[in-house]
Amino acid sequence: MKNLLMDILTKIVKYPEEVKVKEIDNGDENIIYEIYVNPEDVGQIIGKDGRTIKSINIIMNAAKKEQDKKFILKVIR
Amino acid sequence: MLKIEQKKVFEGTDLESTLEKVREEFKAQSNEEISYRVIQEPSKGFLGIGKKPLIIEAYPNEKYLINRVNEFLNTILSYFEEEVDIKIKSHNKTITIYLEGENLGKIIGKQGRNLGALQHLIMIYVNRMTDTKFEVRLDVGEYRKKRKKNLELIADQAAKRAITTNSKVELSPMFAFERKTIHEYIKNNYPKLVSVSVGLEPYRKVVIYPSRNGKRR
Repeated sequence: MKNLLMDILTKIVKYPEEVKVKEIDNGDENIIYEIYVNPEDVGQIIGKDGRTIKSINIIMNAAKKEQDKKFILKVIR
Repeated sequence: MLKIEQKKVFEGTDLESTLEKVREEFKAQSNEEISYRVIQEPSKGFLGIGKKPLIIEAYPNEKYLINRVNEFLNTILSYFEEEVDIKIKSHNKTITIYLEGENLGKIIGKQGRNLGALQHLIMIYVNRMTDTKFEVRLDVGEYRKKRKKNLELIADQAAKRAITTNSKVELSPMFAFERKTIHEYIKNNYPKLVSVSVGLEPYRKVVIYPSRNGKRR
């Protein structure tokens, strides 16, 4: 799923080469993805009222397999 | 960042090699994705005197945009592991995408939630490449048509309730394209009612209320 997240992020930001994603699995029911992008791109990936980041989250959770954990996205500034 | 229809000037000895430069610059897959205009015809000159290169002005066109959207969508849909057929049309700054397949439930989601999210992401991607705003419409099978009928039913029931009770009726939160369907239905079928959208996304909803003169109060 990290690949899907990267595929989407690199297509919608201004500086695709600066996109970094850290996958954190604490062993609980969620997998956290920390997203690092160029400061200029932060607004773009969050979107108005958080709509873009929420859409990415919806798509990831929709594509996941039954046994996969839930995904949580965090944009790090 | 690459923009659709953003013109750039290229120079070369002949058309084929110049277009190759253009394709490379725009990362275009074929000449179909490029539109161009010749600014200066090449001239061999005489003994190297008066030699002129070919100069053209080129830009990635709508075909380019459609092909990139297709790739973007294909990449995302590949994670769903379903056979999906994609058709994309572009007309009057509106891109309409039709998805067909056997098993699209996961792509549609509850009340079209996933579909709405996918449409939003494509719109973000498209508008990153264009200076003029494009509308993106994502249509999965016959889902939208059925949903539209369903929404009109909801609108009709709410309208009747607003008339009999002579007071406002609030609907549950909906996507923008769904609210639009409600507004259109009310406008076309109930001239004595007015509908407005209130609240913040993603909880924005339609409120229908009676109006004597067909205007907002």
